[in-house]
Amino acid sequence: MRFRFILFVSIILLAVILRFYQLDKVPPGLIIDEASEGYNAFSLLQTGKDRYGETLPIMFRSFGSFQAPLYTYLSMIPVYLFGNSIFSIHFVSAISGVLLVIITLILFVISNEKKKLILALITGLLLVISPWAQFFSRIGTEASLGVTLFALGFLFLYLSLKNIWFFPAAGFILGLSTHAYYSERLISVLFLGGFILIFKKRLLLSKKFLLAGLIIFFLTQIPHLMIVNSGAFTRRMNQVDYFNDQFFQNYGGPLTSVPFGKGLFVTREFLSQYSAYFSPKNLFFDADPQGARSMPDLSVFYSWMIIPFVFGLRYLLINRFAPLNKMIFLLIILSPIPASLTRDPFSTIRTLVFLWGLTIIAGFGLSDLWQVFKNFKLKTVILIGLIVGSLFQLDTAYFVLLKYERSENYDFSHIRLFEQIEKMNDKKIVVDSSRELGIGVRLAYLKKYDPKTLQEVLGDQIKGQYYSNFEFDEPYALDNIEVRPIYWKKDVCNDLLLVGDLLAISEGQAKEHKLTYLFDIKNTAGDVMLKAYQTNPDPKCDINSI
Amino acid sequence: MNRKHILPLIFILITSWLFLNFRLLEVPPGINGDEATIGYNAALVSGTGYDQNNRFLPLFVAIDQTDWKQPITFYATTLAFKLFGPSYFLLREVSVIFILVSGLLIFLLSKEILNAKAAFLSLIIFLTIPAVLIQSHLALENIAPIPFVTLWLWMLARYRKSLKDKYLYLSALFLGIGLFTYPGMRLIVPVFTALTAFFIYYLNRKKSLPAILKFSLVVLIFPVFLFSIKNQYPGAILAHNRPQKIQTYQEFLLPYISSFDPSFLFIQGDSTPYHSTGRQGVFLLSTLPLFALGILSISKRKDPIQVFILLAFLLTPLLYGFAASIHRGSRLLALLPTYTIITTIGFLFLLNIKNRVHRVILLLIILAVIANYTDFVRDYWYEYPNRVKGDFGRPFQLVFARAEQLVKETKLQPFIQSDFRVQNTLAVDFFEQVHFPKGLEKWPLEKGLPESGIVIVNYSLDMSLLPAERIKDTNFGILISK
Repeated sequence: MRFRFILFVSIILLAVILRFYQLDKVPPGLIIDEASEGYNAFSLLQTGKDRYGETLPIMFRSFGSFQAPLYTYLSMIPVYLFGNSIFSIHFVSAISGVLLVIITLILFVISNEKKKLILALITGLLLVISPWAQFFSRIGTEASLGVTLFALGFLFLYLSLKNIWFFPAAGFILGLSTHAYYSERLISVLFLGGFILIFKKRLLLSKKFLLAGLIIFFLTQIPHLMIVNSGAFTRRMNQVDYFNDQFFQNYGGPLTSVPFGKGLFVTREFLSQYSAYFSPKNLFFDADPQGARSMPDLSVFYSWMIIPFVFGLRYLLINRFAPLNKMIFLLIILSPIPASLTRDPFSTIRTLVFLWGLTIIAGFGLSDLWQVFKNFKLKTVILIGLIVGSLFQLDTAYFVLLKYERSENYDFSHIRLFEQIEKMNDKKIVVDSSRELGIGVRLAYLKKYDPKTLQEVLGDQIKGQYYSNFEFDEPYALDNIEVRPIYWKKDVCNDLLLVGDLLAISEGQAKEHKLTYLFDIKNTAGDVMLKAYQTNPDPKCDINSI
Repeated sequence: MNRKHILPLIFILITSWLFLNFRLLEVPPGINGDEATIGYNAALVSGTGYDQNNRFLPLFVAIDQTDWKQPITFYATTLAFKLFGPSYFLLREVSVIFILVSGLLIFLLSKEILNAKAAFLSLIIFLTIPAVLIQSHLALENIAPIPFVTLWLWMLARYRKSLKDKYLYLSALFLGIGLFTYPGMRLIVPVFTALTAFFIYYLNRKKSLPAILKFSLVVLIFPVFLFSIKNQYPGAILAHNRPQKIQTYQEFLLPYISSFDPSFLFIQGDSTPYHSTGRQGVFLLSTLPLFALGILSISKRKDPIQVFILLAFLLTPLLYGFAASIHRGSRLLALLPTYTIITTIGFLFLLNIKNRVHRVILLLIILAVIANYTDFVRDYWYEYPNRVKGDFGRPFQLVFARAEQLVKETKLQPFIQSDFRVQNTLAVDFFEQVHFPKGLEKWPLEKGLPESGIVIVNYSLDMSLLPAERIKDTNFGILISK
């Protein structure tokens, strides 16, 4: 028993190490959504309002889109404790990653499965080392909080089959998860409905608790209802779905001239996207095509995991009447639906709940295989070999390749730039933002720029239209630093330090405008990403004539 | 070693040394970028301990963070520069020494497996492989695996006889070090390790596990070390050196099977002009019958070590599918020791058949080998340089050597045209380091001539009126102002 306890603690410890090791350095920067969350958390701490001056928003506005609010609210704690750092923004995600492992361990420990402790240990271990879990636990994304809350709701639902007292708690947690991430808004509703349908006989025995759970779930949805007609509620969906006419006209092909063509087109798109989430190639062999959503050379799962996954499916089919297994089936069927309604093929970030379900299936398979092999030494050596090999692969892909090859996905160069120009208070600096929207908010966050000043500038543009105005033009003039496109005619007539990438300020432009090269900023691979030049205003340059 | 063998061995090695050094700096006609990388950094490290990127005694060196040079060749060159001072001759001489050491080791391997007579034969066969002469004239790391592969085989051959652990350890050690000789060895060492494990199993049967573990653990130290420093040298260990993603089994098998394409191995050679004359294969065509007879002989006699060598030859490029390497002889030089031994066995097979017809055949083959090799050498020394002039760097060595001579004679200050370093800058840096270690001051030609000094320039016709010396057959010149 003690040995097993040590094993459980070791798995949690491994999760803590993997999720928190170099959390401030890898990934080496901040994506735009993270920076937005970070500054809003900082702004809420200081003023109770976000950067646009909105008091305790239901959803956080960010560059014409909206973010689910829970992550930002929770990030106030690490920002308060650890300051405005990269670590603070990644913190909630990393904690969520560890909690997900603990929830999974508990789920199996309390389950009625055969050899449940082995099953719990193996599934927990697979979850700790799974590339998808490692990757998303280390970026400040609402999705990682969403999957953890959903898993907790799943656990409470399972517990409610044993003790109905847990059903209201499950309703609350699932309701809460809808405020954590977009996908959970749909998955939670669908899953709760499916769960009640499957286990209606058992649940209807305690109608009061069933009703209480549903009422609590409904109450948690009130904030959504408050903004349901504002446009903000469906804004993100409208940006990525394939239901609009324009998309149909562009990609509908021959279906555009067929009766009920749009319906057929939507059905085709949905089935195509849905089936992509079950493709072994996508799951075990190829990385997510979006560089910012994956690590180099590693897919969502390790390739070897396809074997336990197949055995896991077999196990699930054989034991399909067990309540937990029914729930997992339901989860696997429903969880890819929200992502399948979007046009991005195989978007991992929108299917973390699905990936959690698949990890559990692989766990079933591996523990099944564990029982099949009788030679304890041999199977231990094989398991250790697989884990060590996987950790080695993970270390290479995540801590080396991602760090060196993908640093610009996290805008590493601008963060380095901020460190460099931090002390140049006597200089007026223009940082070009033509190709990257998030530079200003990153700088504002890391610089701890006064939220009140920023609220005055940004809030004015959308006064009274926080949830309905989607235009965005966010100028960031932070003390001596302006983040905006370079206006050549005007800027070269002023005494400025101009910073931009190699497209923003070419060698030819530097020569033409007689700029003096000052320094450059390299990415982690050593390639020059940004160059800084001093303007040399011509005395004849008449600023007034421009 | 028997005393009567020492003198002929020394004679062959000295003759080969002289032979390999003939036209060493003229063929190929200029320094290439890889040679310059090794040369320049070795010159810097031999002087100060720091490379061009200011790293102290780096394990790997690179110019552009993509093509990293392995430590064995680099530090062999650095050591040579430290002992004798940097020079262009020494840069290439390191390769000649690698070849001679490899020849000696192949002699010892062959003697261990076959006999002394065969060992001399092996040495001659090895030295007459076209790829050997070509690589001995290039200051590159491609040949560095040869001595380590040979040492691995030699130690295994000794282990087979005595079953002593020390040979097993040494064999593993040399194979492990081989990882640091050439990037391609990262795909070869795992195959050789697995093959050795099977060989140990064959020799020891039920008692083989401890021996296999001993061997594997010693080899394993090297990849573990290599990957433990992946954070310090991510470009050298990962980056472009990662296995290619294989989409189809054909894609994986093509490089393996094409490695044994006879037209590539015996007629055309490497697909690049740097590593082949394009008119001879990696091996001499005339040795093909001997090689085929060697395979026949091995399959008849079934001597375990000979079968092992044949398998090593056949499996060397097994994982080259991960590198998508097709018809790149320069990446397959680890084949040379096994090829040499198999060909020697073929020669002995023919020699041991005592009838006149076979003697005549043997004589004809020997004559064919001589004719074949003579033709290759003539082409390599005199025609190949003209064909590949455009593929190699310009002969910077000539202008720098002449400038150094002039400075010594006239005591004038040396300059270099300010935009001289347009192409192959590293080659210019290397020759500057060799001939003017204190550095050359840049001179902008639009200013005219310095009051007194000599200026290394790109020669143009309008300089004919100036006090200038043009370096023969090049577009370099030296302006002299007294």
